[in-house]
Amino acid sequence: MKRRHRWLVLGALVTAASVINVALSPGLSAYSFRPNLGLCCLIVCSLFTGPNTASALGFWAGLLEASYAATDLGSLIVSRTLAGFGVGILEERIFRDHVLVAVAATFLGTLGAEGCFFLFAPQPHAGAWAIATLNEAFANALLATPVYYGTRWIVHMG
Amino acid sequence: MRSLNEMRQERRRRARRYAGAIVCVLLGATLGVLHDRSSRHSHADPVTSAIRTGTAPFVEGAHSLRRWFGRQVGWIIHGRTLDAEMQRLKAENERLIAENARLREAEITARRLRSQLGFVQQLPPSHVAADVIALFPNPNFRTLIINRGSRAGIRLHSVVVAPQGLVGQVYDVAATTSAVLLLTDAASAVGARVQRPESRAVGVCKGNGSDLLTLAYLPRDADVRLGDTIISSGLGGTEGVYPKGLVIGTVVRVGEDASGAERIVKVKPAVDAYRLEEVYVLK
Repeated sequence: MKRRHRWLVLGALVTAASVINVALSPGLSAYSFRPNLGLCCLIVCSLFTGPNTASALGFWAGLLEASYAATDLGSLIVSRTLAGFGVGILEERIFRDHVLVAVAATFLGTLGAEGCFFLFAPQPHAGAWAIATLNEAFANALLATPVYYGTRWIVHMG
Repeated sequence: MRSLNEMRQERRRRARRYAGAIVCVLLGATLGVLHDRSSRHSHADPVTSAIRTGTAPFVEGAHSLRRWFGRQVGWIIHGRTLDAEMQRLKAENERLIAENARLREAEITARRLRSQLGFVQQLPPSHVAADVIALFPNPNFRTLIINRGSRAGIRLHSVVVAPQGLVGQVYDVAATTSAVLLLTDAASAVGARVQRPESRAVGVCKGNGSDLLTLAYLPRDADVRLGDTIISSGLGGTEGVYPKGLVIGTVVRVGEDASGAERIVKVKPAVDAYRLEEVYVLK
């Protein structure tokens, strides 16, 4: 696949993941581990592109998530944009094409994005929020492996 | 040593690297401000409204597929007859529980009405039936999305109920969808009353992001017992949205905090959000 068309495919993947997350969210969870498939897919997709495209993907993922959450819109968009940018900029620092990098980036990226969100829009019951975020990060890290291989296959298919 | 020209090029390259992120952050913050402004004036935000309207059919399709798949799996596990029988009995049980609570409330009201002349009984408000198309779309908030919006006459702060009891209130309306804030969300609060005639204690039922509600601001001598049914009191709330007499839930824990200064009463909501498929929005 030509690199200049990659953003379209990554954008479609992020959109599909966000829609699936909205529709199936409780079905995806196990016990208190509830993943955020949209955020997980955003972070993994950002590994396959540079900081600018990753920021745009983050913006789009945040907008989709915020449209359904219908609250704290700006905070959701900005936190997802920064998460995408943070992973995108790794392009110039480390070799990213490895599943372990995807798992680590997803875990840390989720904590970073949700941490940013909390900073911009402080929520009541901070302790419960922190535990939920930690659980979400673990669940996202678990999902990162299949999402990474799926995205890699689609991106390298052409 | 690098030339001045090379340094300028490096600076430009760096600026280009951050340009996308800066534009997206600024745009995101602007959209956030516009959304807040629209919400404050009870208007639908055109951007999120358009996105939700555009993606709702896909979300609804995926949600229906999940439900269908759940039924197929249920059939594999329980067998077709057993599964159908279980569904029927569960529905009947829920209907009877709700009916029982309604009748008890009607009995109490009738007794009070007999003793009060000039009481004006409010007519039950009209309602719109809606399907739940997304549950907890964001793991951090206790919300759900229904497939009816402003076109069906739904407005901001409309009350959402199910046969079992109170679900929550509409807090964002698009043309064909609405977002509902559940009672269990940390931002939710509803004026509550103990239904038992000997008690009738009044407090506020607050969500905290967990599956249970907290009944707060109770008088110190309030008579609250395990198993008490809690109904909406019709009192309080800046929007004054919740009508009187809707079932909120059942008391599952009564205790005191470590200092003994405050009572802790936990209420299990009558409505199990995980199993909600249809709701009614009171207009």
